[in-house]
Amino acid sequence: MPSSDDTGARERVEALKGHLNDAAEEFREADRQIRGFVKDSPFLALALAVAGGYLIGRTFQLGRQ
Amino acid sequence: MSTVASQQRRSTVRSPTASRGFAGSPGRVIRRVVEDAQALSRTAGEAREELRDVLRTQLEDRPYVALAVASSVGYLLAGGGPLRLARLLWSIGSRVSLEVFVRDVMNGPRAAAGTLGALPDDLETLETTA
Repeated sequence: MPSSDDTGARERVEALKGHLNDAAEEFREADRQIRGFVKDSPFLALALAVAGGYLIGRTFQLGRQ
Repeated sequence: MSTVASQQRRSTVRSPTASRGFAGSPGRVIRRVVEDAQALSRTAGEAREELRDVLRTQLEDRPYVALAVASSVGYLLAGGGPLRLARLLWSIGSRVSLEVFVRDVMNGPRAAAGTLGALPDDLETLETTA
């Protein structure tokens, strides 16, 4: 017969497993959306990526000054 | 569009009249310059289409790699990389392109055909009708 400690640990593991499954599902959904967006408007995605990189570069450049 | 297809197209559009240089009357020279400009425009259009196809294919096959490369380009454009390196690369690239361009112009359409790989297929027809 399992003790109350064992039951509590099992419940925590089950809860963690549920969270991980939810996170994996969210990641899969994000991946689907990103791939769909890139497929639908590839050049817009490219331009946004360049703009994002530009902003990051500017931020680092300002940080160095 | 594949590279093989574009090479086939280039080999079909190259004309033997391209090796004659700029000899002839001013009107003839002007006509040839116009023809060369048209050929250059066509080649630029084809290159643009090919670039677009390559980008689209890469974005569909490897979206994250393509986006990471684009972000890196933006990062470098913003001066995130070393400024001296960017200046050096820009200086070398612009000099080489200028040298190639001037050499092609000085050597005439034959050299330009060697570099660009495309001349109009109707050059023969245009010259015979002129």
